[in-house]
Amino acid sequence: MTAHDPLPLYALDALPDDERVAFDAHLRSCAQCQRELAAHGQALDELASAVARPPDDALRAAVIDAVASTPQVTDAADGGDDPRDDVVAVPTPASTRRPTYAVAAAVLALAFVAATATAIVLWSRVNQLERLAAGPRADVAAILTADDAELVALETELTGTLQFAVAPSTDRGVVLGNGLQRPPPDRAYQLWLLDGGTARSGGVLAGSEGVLVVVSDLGGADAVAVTVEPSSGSPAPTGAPVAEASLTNEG
Amino acid sequence: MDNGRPQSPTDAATPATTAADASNPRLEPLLLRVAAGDQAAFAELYDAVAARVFGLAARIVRDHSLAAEVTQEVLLEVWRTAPRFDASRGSAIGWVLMMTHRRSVDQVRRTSARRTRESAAAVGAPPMQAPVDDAVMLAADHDELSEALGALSAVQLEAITLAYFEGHTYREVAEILGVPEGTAKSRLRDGITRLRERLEGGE
Repeated sequence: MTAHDPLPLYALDALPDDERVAFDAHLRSCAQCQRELAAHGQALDELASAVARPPDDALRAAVIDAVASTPQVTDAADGGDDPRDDVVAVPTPASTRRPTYAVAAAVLALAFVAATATAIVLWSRVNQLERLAAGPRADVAAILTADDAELVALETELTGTLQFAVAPSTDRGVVLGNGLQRPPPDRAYQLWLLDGGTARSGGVLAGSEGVLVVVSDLGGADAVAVTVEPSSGSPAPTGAPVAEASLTNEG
Repeated sequence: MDNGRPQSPTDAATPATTAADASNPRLEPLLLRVAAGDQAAFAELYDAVAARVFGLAARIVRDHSLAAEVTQEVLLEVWRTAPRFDASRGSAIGWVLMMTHRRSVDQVRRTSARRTRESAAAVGAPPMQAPVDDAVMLAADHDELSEALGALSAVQLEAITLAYFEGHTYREVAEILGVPEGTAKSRLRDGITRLRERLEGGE
């Protein structure tokens, strides 16, 4: 198994969130996979063409109307980042202005409001959540709006903050960052779900701001930790945690 | 590398294979014009891709108005982020369809999360029933798919239908089919590879 292997499954959008986030990190630095992905375009076109159906005419007018008042992004080139990032469960590096920025900001606003509480009562921010839920961060909205959602701050020696919003009823959680210090070159932060003595990967954290990773199968995790690993992630933690938090109530 | 800056169409690197595209003008040059803020080009792009975007979204979300919502979001996102599209290494339709797929799956997750919460709140409420026209759509789609994707074996078609058209991950595909994850992965890989080979062979 090589780092390139998930490509066809990635092209089909059939990877679970954790593997997709890890592969996104690989894709950003792998020219071969970028070419391969582009070469899958026609096959995907074939699939979509098999189910093509024209939408109502009214939609065309609405979309073209909306375009007239919608500004385009202006930063054409930003490093080696892939344009697909815009729709990927990869967050918004602080240094760029991506389309998900507004949504990430909404998440951060929510996180900030709730930062000192243990239980998140988010229904008061329904408008923001509606916006969030309508965008590419719908999965995050579902976590934050769960009745049992809680926000836990990770203790860390790093600059910036890391928080874990968790909703056991959804079996999901999301790591939120605010001004997180960048990892060393060619290294990444990786989240671990700890259950008793075992550590399971929760995915590689991407970026430093907003949604850094979504965990789709929380299982019985009773704590989370973050370690510094190679940029594509490790099968098991290789160093001491740089951030951690317990998910069980201590009181 | 000249990243995604609007270029003249002749500068845009385009893959050599165009077999499937006879009736389908290349989208990359159009997208470059959209990137430069050309609204007329956007209207052309809309006409070129809307049926595929809407059809794929409708197949995944199984609801006409939600599919229209997804279509609108995706097309607006195409407009907004076109300046960032890198024609030297991307496939425009691949980019648009990936956005469509992600948004549609997100929409399904969001809807099912809401249904779960609502049904938890309303104990004793009758279970949600799929509207009749959705069932009709499902049946019609199956015929349509096996005809259009005849290059695929039955097991490949089944796996790709679950993953691509119903928005499941390979793990879920394995679970639904009761096969090991490795088997589900192989069927998906082999399926998309076969589609590619057939297209590249120009059959």
